[in-house]
Amino acid sequence: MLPLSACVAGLDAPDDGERSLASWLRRLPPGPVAAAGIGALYLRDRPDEQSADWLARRLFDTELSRPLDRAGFQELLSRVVAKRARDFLEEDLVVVNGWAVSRTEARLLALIALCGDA
Amino acid sequence: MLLDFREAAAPERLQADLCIVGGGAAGIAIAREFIDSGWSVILLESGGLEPEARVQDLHRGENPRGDFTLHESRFRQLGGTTAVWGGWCAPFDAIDFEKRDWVPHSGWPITRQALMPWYRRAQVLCQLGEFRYEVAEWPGLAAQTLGLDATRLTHRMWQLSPPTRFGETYRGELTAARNITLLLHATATEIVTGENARAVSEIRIANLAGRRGVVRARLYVAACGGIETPRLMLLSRGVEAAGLANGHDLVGRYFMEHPHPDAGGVLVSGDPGRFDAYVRRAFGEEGIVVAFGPSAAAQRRLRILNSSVAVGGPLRFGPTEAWDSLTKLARAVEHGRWPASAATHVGNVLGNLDGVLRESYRRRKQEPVRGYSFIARTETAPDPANRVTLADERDALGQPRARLQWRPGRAERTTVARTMLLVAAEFGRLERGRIRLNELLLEDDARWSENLSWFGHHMGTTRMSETPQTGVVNADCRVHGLANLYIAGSSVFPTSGYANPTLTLLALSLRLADHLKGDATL
Repeated sequence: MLPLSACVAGLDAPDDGERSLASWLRRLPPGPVAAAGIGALYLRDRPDEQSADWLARRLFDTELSRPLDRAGFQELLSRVVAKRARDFLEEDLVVVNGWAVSRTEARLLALIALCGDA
Repeated sequence: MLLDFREAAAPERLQADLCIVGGGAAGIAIAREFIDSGWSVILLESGGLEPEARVQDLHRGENPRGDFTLHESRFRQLGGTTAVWGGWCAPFDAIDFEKRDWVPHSGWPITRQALMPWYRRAQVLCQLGEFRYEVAEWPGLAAQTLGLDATRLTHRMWQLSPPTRFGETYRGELTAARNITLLLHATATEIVTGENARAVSEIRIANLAGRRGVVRARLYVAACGGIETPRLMLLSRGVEAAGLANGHDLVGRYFMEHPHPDAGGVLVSGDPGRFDAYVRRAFGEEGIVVAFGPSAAAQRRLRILNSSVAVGGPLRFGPTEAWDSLTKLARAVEHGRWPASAATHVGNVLGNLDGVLRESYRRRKQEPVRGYSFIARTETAPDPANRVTLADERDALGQPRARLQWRPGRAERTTVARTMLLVAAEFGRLERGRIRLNELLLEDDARWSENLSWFGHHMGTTRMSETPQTGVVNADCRVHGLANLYIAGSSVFPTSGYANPTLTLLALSLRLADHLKGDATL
């Protein structure tokens, strides 16, 4: 079952100081982590998107290792929210395990899955 | 006047200005229009006032697909299938009447606008309120529904008839009318024409006791439904071996139905109460259903058929195929009819027991609603290969039974899948939830087509067209090439839309009645 919290609306910037995007993704709460299964399924059908760095650049326009403060995270999240909104507007959806999610959501879940593996 | 052909008091030879074959919704609608008109009218009904097993057996026929049985999807008694219908009424959309270059054989010779006066009158016949099928026409409803981007997804609306049982509701006025003869237990067995097959001279009738007779009239209307009307024409082989008005081999072709697939569901964001307008099937005192469907622009852009997606039931866990299958099996038990795909559904349930158990547990604990299932209904592409023919087996009157050969396919599956993606895009854009598609929508056409529900909407088998090369009746519902034979009912629909057919077939029947009244030959 897809937890709605796995979608971008449920994500929040960390409030405990500066950290990298990769470490933030690794420490997400249980909902999104459970949804990483969706991300893994997405990756299975798209071998060309199996690079965490590539996904991070597509989603956040930044490097996974770049340290960010709270304001920096919030800016990245708003960027992803805007991408997701554009996906829905442009009907850029992908179906993973039956769920019709925006391409941005699918890539975010894929990135979560890859970071969890790391 | 009410007569019963089983009784000697009913003559074996009858004559009238107008003979209507079939006492269902279409036939009754036309007959009512002639009450106290100065016309003599005979309304022939194969059944009686109540269901009778032996008469109903005349409907038995062959459907090799096995997805529904012919004798359980239509009814022989006064009122026809309105004896069991659910009362869902909606007009066809304007695009349903248009010629669409991506839908072969589409296009009516009339427009929705031209039919509007009769749609409004059909509304009254179905005991409905005002003709209002736009959300904006219901004060206060728009605020309770989603603000959809109408360029891609629009609201669909039905009004719910009580439902009107045409036989019970209109029997009194028909039998009281001095110029109307309602003849029960009289099955039309052949439409007889003169040697040049240019005009009907009489209708032959029979009953199960072996009694036979004829009805002569100046004008005739066949109103027997989407399977029996073409069957009667194919049985009428006195002059043309291929059947009446079948020189172009079109009678019985283009059969259409409305596939009702389990389409998936939604896991809602926020308060599920926001979806009440789609769930409660009422607004004030009036029964309505609000659903979703692709806009005309989206149909053109995506090159899909028309369709709709309505909320089914609430979900406490979330949408899964397993729960859809369990629901379908429960319905089958309730109605005593197993779907041909029962094994698939049992497999779905067993294959995802976890989802079923979670849903069941949460229902038992009355946990909050988290989402809703969706049921789609889609237009069927008109295809000449989908057809009614005559079977080898004969009925109790010695007549070949009907045989239905047809197969819904890729166009219908793609339409539902694309419609669900439009719903997903809108729910995502509006932050109202995420959609899960029933995975059968994503599988191959054959497997998908084995898992559909059907509701007896038989259409298209004597389609309306401008020329005899492309259809059976003209824009006035007169059979091409015959001066005095008309057809009423959903068999004249060239395309099927997504809407239940009753309101449209009634509108066409009332329009036909007006046309007949203006006939200069009387």
